[in-house]
Amino acid sequence: MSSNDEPKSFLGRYSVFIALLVAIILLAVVCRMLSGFWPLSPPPPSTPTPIPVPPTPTPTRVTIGDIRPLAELATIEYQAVAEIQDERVPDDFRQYLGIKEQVLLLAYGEVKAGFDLSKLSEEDLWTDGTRAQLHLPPPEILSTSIDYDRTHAVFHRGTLLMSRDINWEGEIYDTAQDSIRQGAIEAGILEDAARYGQLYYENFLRSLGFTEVQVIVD
Amino acid sequence: MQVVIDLEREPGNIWQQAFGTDQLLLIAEGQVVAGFDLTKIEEDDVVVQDKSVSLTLPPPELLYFGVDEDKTYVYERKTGFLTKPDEALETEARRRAQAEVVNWALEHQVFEKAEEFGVFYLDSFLRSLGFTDVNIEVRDVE
Repeated sequence: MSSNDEPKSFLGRYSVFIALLVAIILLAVVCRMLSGFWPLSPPPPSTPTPIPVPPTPTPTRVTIGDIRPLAELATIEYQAVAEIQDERVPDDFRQYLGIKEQVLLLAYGEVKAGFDLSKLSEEDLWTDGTRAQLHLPPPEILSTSIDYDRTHAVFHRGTLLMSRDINWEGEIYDTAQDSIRQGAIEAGILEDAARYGQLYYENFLRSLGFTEVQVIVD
Repeated sequence: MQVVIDLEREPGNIWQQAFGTDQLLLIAEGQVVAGFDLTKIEEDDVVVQDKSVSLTLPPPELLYFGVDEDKTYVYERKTGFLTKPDEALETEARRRAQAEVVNWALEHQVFEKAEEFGVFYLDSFLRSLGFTDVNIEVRDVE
């Protein structure tokens, strides 16, 4: 009799352990749900497509503020689109299995160019009665910005077999901003900025009564 | 200026409620420049009489603003267990960062400061052209 009882009590103890484990897991999940969401907000409405929910921003901190005077004259603006294609390949055996992450980003942006007039010195401006001569510094890129409303990933293929690199998307945006700036320079934005700057100051000086005007751009 | 954007997707189902959704902390650096669009000065806005000049400027406006990608980075990214990362979250964070930078500038009277600096600069410029009596006015926003 005792040899029959022993395995039964063993099984009994084992069942209790399993049941206890399951109960603990269930309790943990329920506790997380209760403490995490129910007291703070009502359960989300059940919709057919629950995934595209807008993100919830927590209060934003602006940590450093700096206001300083500028003396810039923007004379031209270029709008540009950069197509950035990039991929991440693991540097271990997974590369031989064709595992990689790929993205194609279409980045829209604008570049403004003109003059930093704080670089003008007294010698750059000369007047004599009705004559005026202005010597402008070389034109430069004043700003490059990305339009985040229009910028989007045309294609993104990820994989669960690679861990996420939190810097990757930032690097792609950085490349996009550099490409937009470089593209504008190659398309002649600085030459246009110089031409329009010259034209602008010639007209402005004439409107001030100077009849003989010369504007020189470095 | 630097902004910190903390974004988190609302859980869309019971799985995400239990195991978390997508969360991102972005540190962004941005710039806002306000000033005068001098192309809006018309002929009637400049009146010259001998050594006296009167100039009427258009109201100051935001000339450009944006996020400096070179100095912007993701500090932390968390995705719930077996949850597909939201590919649009980081772009959304950058868009919010840009909006926050602009809001901050507006709250700190960027237009008033642009007017103050702009008038001071143009006054000096006109005086260096030989005008002794300089009068600069700024039109109100319509």
